[in-house]
Amino acid sequence: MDSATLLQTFANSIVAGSIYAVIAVGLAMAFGVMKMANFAHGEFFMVGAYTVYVCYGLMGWPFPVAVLMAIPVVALLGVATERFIFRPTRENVLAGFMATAGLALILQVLIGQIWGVGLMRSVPTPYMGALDLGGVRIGWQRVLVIPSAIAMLFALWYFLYHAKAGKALRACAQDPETARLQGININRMTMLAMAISGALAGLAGALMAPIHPVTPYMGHGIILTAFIVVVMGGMESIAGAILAAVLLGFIHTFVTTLSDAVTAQMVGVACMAVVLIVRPQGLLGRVKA
Amino acid sequence: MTRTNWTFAAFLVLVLAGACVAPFLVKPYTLEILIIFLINLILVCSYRIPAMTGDWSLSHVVMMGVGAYTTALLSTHLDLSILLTVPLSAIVAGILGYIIVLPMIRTRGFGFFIASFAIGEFVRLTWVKFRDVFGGPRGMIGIPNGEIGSIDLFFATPSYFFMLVIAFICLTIMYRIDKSRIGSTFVAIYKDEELAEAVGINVPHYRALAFATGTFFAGIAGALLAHRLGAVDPKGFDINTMVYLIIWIVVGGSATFWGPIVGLIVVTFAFEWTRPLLEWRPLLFGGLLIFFLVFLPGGLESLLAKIRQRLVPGQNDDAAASPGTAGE
Amino acid sequence: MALLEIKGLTKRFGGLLAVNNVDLSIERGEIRGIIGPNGAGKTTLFNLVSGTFAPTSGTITFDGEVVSGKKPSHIARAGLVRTFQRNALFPSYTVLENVMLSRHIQSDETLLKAILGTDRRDEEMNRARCREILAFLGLTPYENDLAENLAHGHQRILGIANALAVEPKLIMLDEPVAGMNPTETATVTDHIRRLRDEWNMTVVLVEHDMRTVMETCEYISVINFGELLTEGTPEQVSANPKVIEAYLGSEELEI
Repeated sequence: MDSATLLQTFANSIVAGSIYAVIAVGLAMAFGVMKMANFAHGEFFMVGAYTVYVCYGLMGWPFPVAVLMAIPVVALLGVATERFIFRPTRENVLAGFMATAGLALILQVLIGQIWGVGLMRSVPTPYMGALDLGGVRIGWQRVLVIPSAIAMLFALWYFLYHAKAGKALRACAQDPETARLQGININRMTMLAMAISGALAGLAGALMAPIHPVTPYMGHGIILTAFIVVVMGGMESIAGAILAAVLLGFIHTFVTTLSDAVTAQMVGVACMAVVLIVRPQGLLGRVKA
Repeated sequence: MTRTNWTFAAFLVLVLAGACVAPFLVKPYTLEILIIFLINLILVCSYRIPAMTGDWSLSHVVMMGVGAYTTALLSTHLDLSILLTVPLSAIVAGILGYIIVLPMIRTRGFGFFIASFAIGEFVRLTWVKFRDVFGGPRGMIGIPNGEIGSIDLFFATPSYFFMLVIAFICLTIMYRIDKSRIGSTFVAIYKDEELAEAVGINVPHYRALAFATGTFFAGIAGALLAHRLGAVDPKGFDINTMVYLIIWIVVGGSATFWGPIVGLIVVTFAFEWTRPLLEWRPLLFGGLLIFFLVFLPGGLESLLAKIRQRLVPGQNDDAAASPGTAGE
Repeated sequence: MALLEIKGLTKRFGGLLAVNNVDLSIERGEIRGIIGPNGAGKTTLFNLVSGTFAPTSGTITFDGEVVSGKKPSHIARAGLVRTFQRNALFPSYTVLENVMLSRHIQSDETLLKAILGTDRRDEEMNRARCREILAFLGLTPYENDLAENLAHGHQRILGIANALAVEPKLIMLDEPVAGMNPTETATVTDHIRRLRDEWNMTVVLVEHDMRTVMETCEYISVINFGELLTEGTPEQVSANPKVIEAYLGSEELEI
């Protein structure tokens, strides 16, 4: 690998890692609060991408506005999922997980029937040109992903550690029973967690829309990666998810460059298996007493 | 024999008799569906064996694929008879199942579910990756339908009877396991893992045994499928197919041996009836899955049990083995 | 050699020394009490012996075999069986089925036997023995009731029945009379004595309730702050000022 390719791959790894982080943090957050395991998280990502396709690609709104539109759209989807799937199946994690697999099917069909199956929707690139780093060129559209992801994660961190609702959410994740006794409304917290989780997945999808093939089934490839990241990081640990996301971003990108995408996927899965065997609680997960 | 046993025996004879005359009464298309139904019957019952211990996996369809690919390799390269490919594929799937469950055994409930998803995907991706051996994304073609003596299983009717015999043998064995002491040991692990260990049940060993037994029978289903379709490809064993297997189990219930079978029958009928809906169909089945998990978590079998309890108060014979929908 | 021999047993959880260098020796046919105030390390000791935790250091020898660090199922197979503080039972099974399930080790089960159906005869013998156990503990009238429908006291006794089904040499009871009224407590202490007298079983009783231990056991080991404080007969132990102080320290003297 020559130095230009190396630099290129390095940059791509960071882009991939940032987007994995945003997706996986959403997944980990929902799981942290009342163990909501969302199989349709990849479809949330897909709906985010379609929001940009519709608002920017079809209706011609400014790109940033289209991206921001993904927040209310997918957050609402998250809230509905909480209310109608996770809340009634709260005592059984697997039931909620399987039911969201049903939701994934529904979303795929709905989107596919409205905007067409098979054909991938091309979203025009809003920011042409590329960043030139000593001969290595990275499209601005890709570069944009990195600060956006960092901004989102920073906003989330600020919310969780400084806002009142964020603190309540953390309390609820740590010990729902105590949180309830302190007068925190658990139902409102799970709803909030799913809204944030959905918004993050939607934003990730929205940002990726111009540089990722937009199809009803694009969530499929994402969901396995997202779960690998979350399991490696430690299921409920947000910091763990970010660490594992960056790691997997590098692993996937480098193996893809050196070999091919299928091998990269296999190496990712193998990494997760190793973590499960050696450290079942994940890289930054806590051992349950 | 008690009266219930006689009723059951009479019912079984009736079902078998019906199954024997069916191919002469139905249209060719329906017969093909019945053949696939018999294969799915083996698959859905085999899923329940590890589920008895509380281990719900997402790799079961991949393990069926292991059986299918083994058959594809054995019958195209070595020209082996269907009477050999089926048991050999089952053994390969069983052994591979035992190997992949060993790292997974440290996880439980949801963790097990996800771990099996990932490890299953790993196995599936090897078929995509190694083109020379497994044909890559397009899979393998030219698998013979099989022959027994001079009977060519290309024709639907002999094929149907062959599948019927195999399905009958497999289901009988699985039923015996279910009713045996080992079956009770599996359920004991689901009910109270800590207590099971305390009374001397080697929990990891029995969980691995249940898993491998399940994949063994999934391997049989895969081998039969490969022979019937004449082709295998990685897409056929992906998570989408797995979700349909979950739908069968959830709709029927998993507490008793009969739950998954009921689920398979009902969903197969629903699937055929809704054929005119075309691409909208997955939406319906996704909705069905959500509906059952939210409103009837025990599946149809729990509904039947409730009705029976109302009709015959005080009767409580089948209440023993009831994993229900697996918990954490 | 003693049936259960514990040497230098230590368990550390991070910085916390839960059990520190404990030596215990329990002879065949003994009814041994292990007492101590709350948080003294009794439960940790119990979990170490039964195999739930692996010790940080030290050895546990049972019937000539070193069992420290082994899995609970292995230790149960060796003949050392525990009960639980909680009402541990297999729900949605009847009382008799519970005991049958717990007889796992005694029933040589294999997949082949299951498929061929040749395990039926063994099961008849097992059933007979399980009925004997239920009769011994006075649970016969309830044998066809669902386990979770039993009264609290009977559920606790079912826990003992489940342990007996393993045919242990030593049974280790974790607070068997917790939450019981005096009549139920008397029944259980009676069962414990008869287990030793009639079935030659060695019993280790880990109890919080001093009175039960004083009335049931011939020899008592007192644990405090994870260490062995003293050992002796009920009279010696209850007269020992160190024991009184330990219990007074935690304001739990109930004698």
